Amino acid sequence: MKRLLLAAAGLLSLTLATTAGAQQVTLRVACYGGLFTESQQKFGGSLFSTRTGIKIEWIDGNPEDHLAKLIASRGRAAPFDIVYLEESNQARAAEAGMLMKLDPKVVTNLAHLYPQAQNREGYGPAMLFWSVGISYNAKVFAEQGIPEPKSWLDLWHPKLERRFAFPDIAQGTATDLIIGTARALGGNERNTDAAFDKLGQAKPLYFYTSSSDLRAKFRAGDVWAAVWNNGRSWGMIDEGFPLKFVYPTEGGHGKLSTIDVVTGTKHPKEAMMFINQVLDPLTQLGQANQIPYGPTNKLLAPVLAAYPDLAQKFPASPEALEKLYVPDVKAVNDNYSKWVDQWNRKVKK
Amino acid sequence: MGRFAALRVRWGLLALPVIAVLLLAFGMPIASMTANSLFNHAGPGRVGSNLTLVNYINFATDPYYLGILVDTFALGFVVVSICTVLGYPVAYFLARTHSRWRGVLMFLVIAPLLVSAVIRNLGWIPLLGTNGFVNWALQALGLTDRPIALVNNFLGVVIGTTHALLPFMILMLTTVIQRINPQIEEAAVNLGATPWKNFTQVVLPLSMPGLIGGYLIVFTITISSYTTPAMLGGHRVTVMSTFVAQQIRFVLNYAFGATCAVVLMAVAIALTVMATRQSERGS
Repeated sequence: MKRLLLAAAGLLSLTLATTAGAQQVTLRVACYGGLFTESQQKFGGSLFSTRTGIKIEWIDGNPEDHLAKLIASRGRAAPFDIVYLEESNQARAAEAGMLMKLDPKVVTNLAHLYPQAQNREGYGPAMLFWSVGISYNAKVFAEQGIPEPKSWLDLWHPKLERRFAFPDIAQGTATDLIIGTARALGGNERNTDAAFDKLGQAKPLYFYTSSSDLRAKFRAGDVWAAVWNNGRSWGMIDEGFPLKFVYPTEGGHGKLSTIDVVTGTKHPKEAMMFINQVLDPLTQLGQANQIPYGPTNKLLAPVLAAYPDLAQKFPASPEALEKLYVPDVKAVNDNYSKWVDQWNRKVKK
Repeated sequence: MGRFAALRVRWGLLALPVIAVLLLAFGMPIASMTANSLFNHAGPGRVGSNLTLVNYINFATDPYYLGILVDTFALGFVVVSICTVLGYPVAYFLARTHSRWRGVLMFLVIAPLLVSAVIRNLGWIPLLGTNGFVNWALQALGLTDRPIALVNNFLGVVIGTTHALLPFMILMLTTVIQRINPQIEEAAVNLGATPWKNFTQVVLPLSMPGLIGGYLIVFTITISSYTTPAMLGGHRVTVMSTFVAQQIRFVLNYAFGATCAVVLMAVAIALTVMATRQSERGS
């Protein structure tokens, strides 16, 4: 009996050793950085590594930088295995052949996502819903007698001169500012000339490229208002900063953040398993609780319904998303180079 | 072959590895970038196969692009001028002083070089901000009644770049002024030169090599600097480097981005050659 036990223990340790050996895989994951990467690691990455023995190496940067790296690596080894992008640059990356279609048999959580989060062509889904609106320092607005912003155009208020921030064109949010301004002036994604003239008259303090930097400027009192996203704004509100995040009457913008497997990865199956983890209700809820971006897994609907205080901070359902204006991604991508050029010539000065 | 010639060949052989590394690390990327600029843009991140000068023609015929080049050079000239005016007295003092504080002063001069560009600029942002120390001090002294825009504009870039590059100007000038024999100055004064005449007709002409060297270093680093314009310009200031980055990283137009980079490099080389010739003629 003793010998049998010993043999069994030996066999077990051998099996463990070989599994560990076979699973010495490290996935390189291109994420947004800062607090967001931290929360993805906390609620997704570490759980995944514990369960599978696969290590995660985070590579931080803006989605635009990740896209640039993907495009630059065409025909060579993939710079990372998994990439977090936004809907618009996901479409560009897919068009360039840099993304793989997912296998629903591995990414089983795909079946639980809202239809709006599914990618029609089978690429990576939206892993969260978020929104763009106007964030402003309610305390300073009251002191200065500036009315609460009701329209995108209210940022042109004379008292806000050099006291508000716009996103730089290198930031995805800049396209929302362009489209929002166009719509406030009766245009749309395909008719933005009036918007650029109007944006050219604006006098922002600066054009931000980093949310952390913008946050510091809100805190220092240099910036009183900005076109920003719900997650980072609520982050400041929850810390007790007198910020308010509002949707203008023309409509706040509904946005999707995506996650994909990169073409040419050596570990496609492991990468899909990781994406499945990111779409897991537990990971999504942890994420939403840490930085309030909306989960796309519909299994969480009853949980969010039970916590309205949390759910109010993001588009918590397809219905909530539909109340927002979702810009036409194709129009954004078709016009992007032209917009950068007009931005350079008219807005940035 | 004489002994000296043989020695020279042997030293030449020793330099070969470095030359090879330079060719690989600098020559090849520059060649590949120049090649990119000579073909058409064929979609995001794609350079076409049609040999063309269209990128250069676009650059040369559009006042907007030429304006970026002009702004870049304006930044270079402003920074060089301020560095010269601020740096010369310090350099003269450092070259002539026998004070025991000389070492400390030298350290203070070099200090900005010990900090990375990102950290240095991060330090400037709160100081120059709307509610920053400088604006607070200006208002407390009654010099202005409302905050002045000191950062997120051209002025901010000038302040940051001057701070970063002043040490180069001072070090270049100090070395050259030290080599000017003080007896020449004494002779000039003995012969009745006023301090002003002594400076303009004796010291200044003799420190020309330092001025040209400092100008070359400060000017070329300024026109190619990226971090400071990006961080202190508030994404409002467009210079060649930030424009090239935008074209390559965000617009993904490699052909045009490469064209702008080649234009900047060509003009910088031309200016360096001109300045070196001038300095050779002067000496």
